[in-house]
Amino acid sequence: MKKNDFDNRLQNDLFPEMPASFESGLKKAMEHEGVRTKKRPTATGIFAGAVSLLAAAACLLIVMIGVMGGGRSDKSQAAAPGEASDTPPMAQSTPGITEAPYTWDWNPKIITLSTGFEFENVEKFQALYTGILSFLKERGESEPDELWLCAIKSRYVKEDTGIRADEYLSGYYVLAQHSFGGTDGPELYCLTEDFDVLWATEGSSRGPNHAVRPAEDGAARYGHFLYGMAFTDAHVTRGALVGTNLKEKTDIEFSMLAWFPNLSERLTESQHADMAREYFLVTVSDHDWDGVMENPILRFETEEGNMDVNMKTELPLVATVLGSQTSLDIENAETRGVEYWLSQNQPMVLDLTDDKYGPEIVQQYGEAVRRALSTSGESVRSGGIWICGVDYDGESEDGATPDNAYVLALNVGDGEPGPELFFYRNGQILWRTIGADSEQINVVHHNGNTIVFGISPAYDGEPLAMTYGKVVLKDGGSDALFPVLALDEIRERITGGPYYDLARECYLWMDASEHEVKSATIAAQVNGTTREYTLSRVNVLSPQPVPAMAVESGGVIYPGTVTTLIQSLNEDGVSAEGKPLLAALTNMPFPEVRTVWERPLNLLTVSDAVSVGSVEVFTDDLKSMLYNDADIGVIDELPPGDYILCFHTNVLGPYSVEAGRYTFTNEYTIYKVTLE
Amino acid sequence: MSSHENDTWFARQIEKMGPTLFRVAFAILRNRADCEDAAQNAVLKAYRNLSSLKERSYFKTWLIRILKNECFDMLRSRRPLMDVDTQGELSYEMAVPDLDLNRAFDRLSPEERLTIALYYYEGYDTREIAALTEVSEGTVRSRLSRGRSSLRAMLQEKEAAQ
Repeated sequence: MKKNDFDNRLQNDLFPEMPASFESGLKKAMEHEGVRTKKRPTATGIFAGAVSLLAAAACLLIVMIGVMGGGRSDKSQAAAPGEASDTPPMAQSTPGITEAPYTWDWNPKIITLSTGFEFENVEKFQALYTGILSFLKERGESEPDELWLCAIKSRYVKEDTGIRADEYLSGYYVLAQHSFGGTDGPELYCLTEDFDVLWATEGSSRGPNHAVRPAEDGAARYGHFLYGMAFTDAHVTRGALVGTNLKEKTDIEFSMLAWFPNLSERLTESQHADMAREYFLVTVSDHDWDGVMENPILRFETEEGNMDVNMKTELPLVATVLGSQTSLDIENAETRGVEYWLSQNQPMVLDLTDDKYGPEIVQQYGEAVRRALSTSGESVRSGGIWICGVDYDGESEDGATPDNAYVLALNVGDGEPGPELFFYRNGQILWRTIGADSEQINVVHHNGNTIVFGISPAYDGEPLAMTYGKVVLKDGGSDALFPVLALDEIRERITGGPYYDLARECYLWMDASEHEVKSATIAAQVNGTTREYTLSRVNVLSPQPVPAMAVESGGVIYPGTVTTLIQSLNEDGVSAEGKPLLAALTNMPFPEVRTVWERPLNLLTVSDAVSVGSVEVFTDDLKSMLYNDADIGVIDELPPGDYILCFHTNVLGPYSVEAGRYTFTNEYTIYKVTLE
Repeated sequence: MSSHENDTWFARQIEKMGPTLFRVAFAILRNRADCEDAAQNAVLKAYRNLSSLKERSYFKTWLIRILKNECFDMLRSRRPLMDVDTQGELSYEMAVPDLDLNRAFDRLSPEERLTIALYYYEGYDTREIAALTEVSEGTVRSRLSRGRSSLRAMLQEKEAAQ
C-alpha cells in the first residue's frame, strides 16, 4: 500500500457522518438545562432564576453580617463585610471573600478567589455563603463574625446506576473558615446546586480537608480525598483503610499512608511550623469500582501502637489525611522491558500484605540498609527507615531473603530526603546511591550493567540537589566515589500554575555485577565553566557536546541536539561502521535528542527490541513524526543503517496537592528504524 | 453578556461543534449510543460550568476536554463490549466509509484513536493535543506514530490475506 493511499484513507475515511440522533440529543440536553436559544427568547431558566433569588438573599445576609461583624483577622486583605455597598459587584469588593488562608488546589480546576472572578460568579459565591451560614445556624453554632470562603470546586456526582444526564447531581465543595483562633482550620462543605449543605467536616485541626463522601447509609464512598495537617508528633509508620465492602460483603484493606514530613517549606512562615506534621493518606480511586465501605477505619501504626480513627464519626480529627497513591509498577515495567521503581513525589509504601514482601524479608532489607547507613557515617533519622520498594530476580528459597535485590529505601527525617537505591546481596548492601534526592529513581539492567537514573527536583531559584550526589561502588572493601551529575539546562516542565516546577534530570551509570573501577577524567564545558568529571563505567551526561577525546574512552554518552549528534557521529565514524545506536529522545517539553551512545546495552537486535515491547516503525512514519518539529527534522542527514530509538517520555500525571506540582511517570518506547 | 445572549452564544457553539463532538466521542467510545450520552453529559457540564471559563475563545478546547474526560469515565465504567477476536463482526450501527480501516482503528487504544482524530480531523497540532489530552507532547507523537504504524500494518495484512 502506498503511503499516499494510506494517508488519504486515514484523513478522509475514518469517521461516518454525524447521525441526526446525535445532533438532536445535544439540543435536548440543552433544552433540559433550560438553555435559551433564539427560538425561545423570553424563556427564563430555572437555574438562573434560582441563582438570582439566592444571590439577592445572600447579599442581604452578607450585609447584615457585615454590620454585625467583629474584629478582623490580621490575615485579612479583603474588604470588611458591608463595605461593598457602593462599589461594583466585583470580586475584590465582595465581603467575606478573600484570598484563601491556605491554598487549596485540586485537579481539576478550583476557583482561586485571590485571582479574581467574573461578576456572574459573585452571585453564586454569595449564595454559597448564605447556605453555609444557614447550615451552621441549624447545627447550633453561633453566628460567626466572619466567614471566609477559601476555595470552591464544582461538584458533579453520578448516581450509582446509569450515566444519563438527568441523573447527575451537581453542586459545590466549598472550603470555608470562620475562625482564626487556636488551631481551628477551614472546614469543607458539600453543597447541592441549590446551595444547601449536604455535609461538612467539623473540627479540622488545620489546613484543608476534603472528606470522604458518606453514602446515605453513612458508609464511606471511595474516590474522594481526605487530607490535612495534623498536630501530633507521633510518627506514623504505616496506615491503612479497613472496612467492609457493602457490595461484596468482604473485608477490604488498602495500604495507603505515607508520612510526609517534607513540607516544612510551606510551613516556615507558620507559627505552628514547629509542631505540625503532615500526614497523607492515599486516595482510593473509584474508577473501576464504585463501592461503598461500611465501617471505614483509618488505622495508623505509630511508634506508640495502633491508632484507629473512625472515618464516619471522627473523620476530621487530627491524624487524618490523604495524598495520592504510588505503587510499584512492576507490570508496566515488565511490559516495557524496564524495571523501575516509581517514587513520584513521596515515598512509596510497600504493600506488606503481598507475600512477596513479607515483613521478615522487609526487616532483613531494612537492617542491611541500617548497617549501610551506619558504615557511611549516617544516622538513622527520626522517622526511621522506610523500605519503599524491593525487586529481585528469581524466587527466594524457604523464605530466605532474596539476594541481588534492589531496595529502594528512605531514611525519613526532617527536610526533603529522597529515597536511595541499595543493592543487597549476601546480607549486606553492596552498593548504594547517596544524595539522590530524586523524586524518581529508575533502574535498568541489562547484561550485568545497571543503570540508575532519576529526575531531581530543583525548584525555582534553588540549587540543584543532585550536584552533590555521588555513587559509591564498594569493591573489595574500598569505596570508589563517582559524581552524580545533572543537566544544567533547566527545563520548565510546568507552566501556567503557581506551583510550576523546575526539574533537572540526572543520569548515572554503574556496573553492578563486575564492580570494576576504571577511572578516567574528562573535562567538559558547562555554562562556560570547565568541570572535571570522573568517569568509569559511570558515564556522565553533560549538557554540552562531549569533546572528541571522551569518545575514545568508549561508552561515553553523546549528548546534545540532533545536529550535534550527527556531527559527532560523522566525525567518529561510529555509524559508518554500522554499529547500532541507541538514542534517547526527550520530547517534553522541548524535543531533542538527549543521549546516544555506542552499543551500550546490547539491546539492539530486533529480537531484543521485540522482547522489550518495541514496535518496528516505518521510516516514513518516523520521519513524519520527527518532522513535526522543525528542530529535529534532520534525520535525513543520518547515514543509512539500523537505528534503535528510545523515546523517553515524561507523562504528565495528576496534580498533587500535597506536593504542589504535577506528577510524572516515565514511559519508554523502543523503535527499530532502518534508514535507507 | 446577558443571560439570553449567553444562552444563544452557547447554543450556537454547540451547534457548530456537533461534528467535532461526535468524532471525538466516536473515536474513543466506538458506539453511537454511548457517544450521544457522553456528548450530552459534556454539554450539560459545560453549560453549568460556563462561568468558570475565563476565556471564551478557549471554549472549543475546553468542551473537547470535558467530553474526553466524560468518554474515558464511561469507558472505565462499562464492561468491555467485545472480545478482540470478535471485532470482525462489529456493527457500527451506521455506515462507515471504510470498514477495513475502521476495524483496524478499533484495535488501537482509545488514547491513540483520540490522538489521531484530533490530529487529522480537528486540525490540532501535537502541542495543542498534548495540552488538550493532558499528556506530554512526546506522548502525543508516540501515539500518533504507533497508531499510524499499527493501522498501516493491519491494513497491509488484510490486503495480503485477500
